[in-house]
This record gives sequence, structure tokens and C-alpha cells, in this order.
Amino acid sequence: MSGRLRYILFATFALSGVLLYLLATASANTGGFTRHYALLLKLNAAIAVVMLLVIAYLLASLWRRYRAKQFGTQLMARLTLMFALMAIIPGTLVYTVSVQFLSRSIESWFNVRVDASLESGLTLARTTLDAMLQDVAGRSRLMAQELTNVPDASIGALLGRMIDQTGLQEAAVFTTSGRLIATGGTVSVRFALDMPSAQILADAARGRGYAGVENVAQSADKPALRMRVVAPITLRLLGAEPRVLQVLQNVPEQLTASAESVQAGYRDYQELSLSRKNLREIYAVTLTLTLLLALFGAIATAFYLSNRLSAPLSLLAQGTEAVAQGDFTPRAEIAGRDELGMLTQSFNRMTRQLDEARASVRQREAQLESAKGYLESILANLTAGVMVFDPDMRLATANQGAETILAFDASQAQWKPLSELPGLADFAARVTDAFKQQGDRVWQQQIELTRRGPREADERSLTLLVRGSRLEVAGGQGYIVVCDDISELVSAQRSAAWGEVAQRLAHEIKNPLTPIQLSAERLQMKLAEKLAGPDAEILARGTGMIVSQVTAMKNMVDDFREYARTPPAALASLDLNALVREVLGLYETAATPVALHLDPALPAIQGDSAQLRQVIHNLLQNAQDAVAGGARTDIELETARAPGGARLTVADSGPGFSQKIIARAFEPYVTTKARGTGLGLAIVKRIVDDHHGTIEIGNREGGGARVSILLRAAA
Amino acid sequence: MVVEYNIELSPRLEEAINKGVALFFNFELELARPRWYWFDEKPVEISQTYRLSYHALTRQYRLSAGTLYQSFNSLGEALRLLARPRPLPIERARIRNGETYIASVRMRLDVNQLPKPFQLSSLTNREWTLDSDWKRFPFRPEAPIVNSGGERK
Repeated sequence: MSGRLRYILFATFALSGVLLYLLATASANTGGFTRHYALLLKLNAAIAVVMLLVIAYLLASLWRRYRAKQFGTQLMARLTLMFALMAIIPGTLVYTVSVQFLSRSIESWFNVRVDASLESGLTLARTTLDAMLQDVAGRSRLMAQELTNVPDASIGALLGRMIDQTGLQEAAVFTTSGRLIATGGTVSVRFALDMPSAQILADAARGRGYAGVENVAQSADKPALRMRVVAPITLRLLGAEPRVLQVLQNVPEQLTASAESVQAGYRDYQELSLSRKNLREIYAVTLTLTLLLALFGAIATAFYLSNRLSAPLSLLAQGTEAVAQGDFTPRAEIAGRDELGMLTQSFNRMTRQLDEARASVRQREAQLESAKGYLESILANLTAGVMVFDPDMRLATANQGAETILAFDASQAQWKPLSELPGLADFAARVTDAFKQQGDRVWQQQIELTRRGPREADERSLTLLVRGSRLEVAGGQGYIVVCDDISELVSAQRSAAWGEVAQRLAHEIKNPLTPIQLSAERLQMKLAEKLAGPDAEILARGTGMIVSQVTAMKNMVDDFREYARTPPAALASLDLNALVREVLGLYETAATPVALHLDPALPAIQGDSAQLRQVIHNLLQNAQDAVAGGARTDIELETARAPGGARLTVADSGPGFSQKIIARAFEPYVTTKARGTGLGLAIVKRIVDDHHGTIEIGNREGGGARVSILLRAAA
Repeated sequence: MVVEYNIELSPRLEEAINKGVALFFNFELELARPRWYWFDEKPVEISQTYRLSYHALTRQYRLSAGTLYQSFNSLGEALRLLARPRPLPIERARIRNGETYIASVRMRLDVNQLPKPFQLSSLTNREWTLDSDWKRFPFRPEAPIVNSGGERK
């Protein structure tokens, strides 16, 4: 119920209260409002209509909400009905009894005996008056007879005498045309003027007398009755105007008062009797209006009360709905210390607690999430591959490292058996065997794995260190496999071992070389003059061979030492392009010219110029060697920007690397050349490692080898 | 001016008067001067009340206006006199010669002076009302103030 409607109702209540009071006062037949009874009635009826409209509006809105199945409406409707019944039933009862009582009691005022006695009273008064009138009339007739043949002049005196004799009050003689002849008795001015009416005079002219009681009251509270008798006087002479005698006699005051009061009582009774239906109507209408106003007021109040009672429930219902949808904002609390107020308060307390609980759950979730993210990022950043399998050896999870090492796509491989992953059948068999043999213990194995790429050329051989253990997880057992790619490590170990061997060998070999060379030279010097002919020639050839071979051997040993004892790189900022041009100067006369593609926007890099010069030199030498004797000969050297530094690529049109070579190209003594120590690429690799760079070798698309070095930019 | 009405009492009114209920009749006269810019000016509004009653003791009908009264033996006589009400005096000072007025007259039963129970009936029942409605005619004061001719209700 809106506020405005409530004010309208209150105003209507107050107004109807006042109007009803006035109406009741007016109905009581006294007081000043009686004259405005009709107006009051209309006003009350108007108020009743207004109330009816308001109630109709309320009912309609309740019905609309009821149809819309709005929460709380049913309760409100029931409460309204109950409140309304509480008012309607007693009201109607009182009304019915009142109306019955009213009609009975009004009817009981009017009964035959009262009616008859009042009628008799009136008749009695009339009869008394009639008797007196007859008496006066009789005496008047006697007087009229005596006045027969009396001359006009003596009528006055005779009248006076007769008045005295008869005890009448006033007598007068007129002609029938109304001319006064004479008067007698206590004639007042007024009486003198009180002529009989023309009708009476005309009747008298025809010999008929008149006798009647007249009401001469000047006002209602001073009743006065008078008897008037007109008697014709017998004609004396033919042709003369007839005379009439008029006698006026006041009815005694005592009698008049009694007769008038009888008449007043009779009149009042008749009036009441005539209007009893109307009276009943008045009271009934007043009562009915009162009832209607009271009922409408009660119904409106019922609406108001039930609305007040059910409003908190609607509020709670809204709150519940909001909570169901996850809205925990507190509801407006109903003020008051009753149960409804407490209910809303405790509802709000509950939602607050729910809100807090939800917040803490969310916080915990966030913590878990971040912990999981932390673990995942650790796993993702591990270079080691970590894989988790279910009891049937199907892949549950795998980290980035595992995908890189074993070359599969974790998103596609999930829940597939490991053996079904491309190229991992052998690996799967080894791992499964290991788990079978070791049971619950942790095991560790080194597994060689040939990994095929999308192209034949990308095939690589990997050495993996694999550790496996059982994993106790919720919902059963699983397996966890951790594998490290130790190919680099193995390669480095091999390279270090070779360095050691080379150094020892160089030392051991170099020591006897100098005496051998010196001895050969001495033989040449001492025996050259002593021998002649072919012998001298043999000697010269032999010692020359020894010296040249020893020199070659020395070079070789120096190479070994070089490899084994490369000094640590002294890193400095340098311009790679300038260095390349400098080295290229040496190859201007080479068999195959080098095509240069230099990036002018190359950043300065970190490097040791002497060592890098050797790198470029070795790579170009290898390329020259590779293209020698080939049909197509071309060598390209390219520098380019790369993320984090610069890339130097040397490509040739030679035969390229075979698969076997690619795997072990950086190991010493691995070579494709007929003559060569196999140390060239090994040294390159070592220097690049010292520069914290990376080196990739492979084959060009169109055939031929391709070596690419990534060097870091200067800080 | 002379106005004549033909007054017929309804059976209910006749019964009421014969039971002693006094009836009051108002004879009203209005002179109005029309004004285009405002409500009409009403310089003259006069009325005369007639009281018609039955005296049961003398079986006479009594018609009174102020202190003047006249008694009749039959209701018909009384009504005939009532139907020709005496002209109402117009104060010459209040009206101007040559001006055209709208004069309105009417005769009606004064319901408000009835006893209250009858008033209620008069709200709903046409038997309890008696009204000639306003009769209007133009009026110029310089002419003799006589308007003859019957107004029939």
C-alpha cells in the first residue's frame, strides 16, 4: 500500500468519523444540523463511494499480485480476509439487530388504542364546540325573531339589551349587501370590521343561516377560537333590503387551550404516523451508511494491517532469492523488537556469515590456484621432462620439458598409452620393463633414443637419463617418470676426455720428434758428401721425407695442444661485420669466392676477436674443402640480427652432413675429409661455448652444409 | 404583475396536509441585469412565504402570509388563492428606468420547512416536490409594472 493511498485512507477515516457524528446528531431530531441532514447524507454517501473505490483498487492490485504469484500475496490475502471478517461479522450482526429493533420499536409507538383515543379526544373537543355553537345559534335565532319588524333606529338599543340578557359578547345587524346597521355588546374595532364573507351574506339573503367556529389565532402559540353565527332576519316589508344578524362569541380560553392541545397532539401523532416509514428510512439509511463506512474502513484497515504484517515476509523472500543468486548484500531491517524484526536481523546475520564463508573459500581457492600455478611454472621451467601416468601407463600430465625432449604434443597425447605416441615405442617398452622389474622401488636408467623429426635430416640421437617411481595419488596408483636430456653432457664429457688424451699424446709424441728431425738433418749433413750417385739421392729423399713428416706431425701435435689448451676467451665488444671483412681479405684468391650478405644494422657483440677469427676461418676452410671438386661451387656468409644478439651463418653447396656425422660432428676426430684432424668443428664448438653462444649445424634445403652461430649482443 | 399558477397537490401532499402537516410555499422574484464580463447583477431578490395548514378542530384550511391569514372551508379554495399570489413590491431605488432586466418568478414548495422525516422522502420521491421552475421575461421598469397572463405549471 503506497504512502499516498494511506494518507487518503486516514483522511477519509477522519472525515467519515466527523460526518457520521453529525449525521447521528441530525437524526436525533434536535440540534442545528437537522436542516443539513440531506447534505450530510450526501457527503457520507460520497465518502462511502470514495472508500469503495479505494477498496476496489486495493482488491484489484492484490488480485493482480496474486495472479502474478508474487511471494507473500497469499498470506496477505488470507490476513486481509481474516481481518475483514473480524469486522464484517460483528458489524453485520449489530446492524441486523439494530434494524430489526428499530422497525419494531417504531411500529410499537403506533397502536390502535392511542390512535382511537386521540381521535376521540378530537371528536370530544369538536362536539363540545358544536354544542356551544348550537347554543349560540339557538339564541341568535331567537334574537333574529325578536328583531323582526324592528325599525333600524331602535335596533341598536334592542341589541344591547338582548346581549345583556343572553350573555353573548357581540352582535351586529347588516344588510345583505354588507352595510352595517347597528352593533351591540363589547364591540372592538377589529370585531366591527370583521364582516361575514360575501358567500355567507348571499346565503343569508336566501334565508339560510350560518354557524361556524373560526380560528382567529394571530400566532401558533396564542390559540383563539371564535364562534360566528349569522341568522337572517325575517322580511318586514316587501322590497326592502333584507337584514341579517351576526353574533360573534369567543370560545372560553380554557376550552380553547384544551381543544388546541388535543388537536396538537392529534396532529403530531398523525404526522408521526404518516412519516413513520420515512423515520424508519432515516434511521435505516443512517445505520446503513454507518455500517458501510465502518465496513469499508475495516476492510481498508485490514489491507493496511496485513500489508504491514506481510511486508517483512516479502522482504525476506526477496532476500532469499538474492542469496540464491549469490547476492549477499544486507536487506533493510525491519525496525522493532518483535519476532519479525528479529527474523530480518538474523537473516541479515546469516547472509553476512555466508558472505564471509564464501570470501574465505574464494581466498583459499586463490591460494591453491597460486600454489598450483607456482608448481606448474616450476614444472614448465624445468628442462627435465616430467610425466605422470595412470596405472595403465596412459599419460596423465606432462610438462613442457617432456614435450621438448620427447617431441610430442601433450594436449593431443593426454590419456593415450605412452607406446602409442609417435616414435616412443622403444622408450615405452624400456620404461614399462623398468617398472616391472623394479616394482615399488625408484629406478634410474640411461636410455638411448633416436628421435625422428618431420624430415629425415632432423633425426637425432638422444641420451636420456630416466628415473621412475610409483606415485601414490588420490584414487589409486600412478607412475611418475622424470627424464633428463644428457646428450650435451655426454658430448661434453667425451670432448673433455679427448682433450686430456690429446694433451698427453701431444706431449708424449712431441718429445721424440725433435731428436728425430735433428737426427735426420744430421744424417743428411754428414753423409751427403760421402755418398754419391744414387745413394746420395736416396739419402736426400729419405731425410727430406723424415723432416717433412716430422714437421707435419709437429703441426698435428700443435693442433692437439691447441684444442686441449685453448685459453679462456677474453670477451669484449666488437663489430662482427668488420671482423668478417678482415678475415675475408685472406680468401680473395681462394678457389671459390665467398658471397657476403652482411646486415648493416647488426648490434655489437661480445667476443674475443682472435678466437672468433679462428672460428670464421675454420668454417670457411671447411666450406672450401667441401666444395672443392664439386660441380656447383658457391659459399655464402651471412650475418643477421637475432633475438638477443647476432647470427653468423656459413652455407656451402657441398655434399652436406650425413645423419651419422650430425650427431657427433663436434667431437674431435670426426671428419669427412680424406686429410684432416677432425678438430675444426670441435674447436669452433668449444669457442662458441666459451662465448655463451649456440651453434646449430644442418643441411641446406637445396643440398650442402649449413652452420649457424648465435652470438650474444654486448651488454 | 400578476402571475397565476395551477397548483395540484399530489395525493401524498394532500394526505399530509389533511393530517395537520403545514406546507410552506415560496413565491420568489428576481431581477437580473445581464453583464457580458461577469455574472449577472441581481439588484432585486425578494420572496414571500405562504403557509398552508389545516385546522382539525374547525375543519378549516388556513393560508397565511406573515401575520395576514385567511381561512377556507375547502382545500380547493385555499389553493385557488395561493395560485394567485399577491404581487411582490419592488423597491424603485434598486432599479433604473430604461434598463432592461430579466425578471424571473417561481413558486415552489419549501421542502426544507417540512418536518425532517418528509425531507428525506423529498430527496428521492417526486411526490414530495412541487416547483414551477423559473419563468423568465424581459422587463423595462418605465412601463406599468403589470404582467398579466397565466403561467401554467
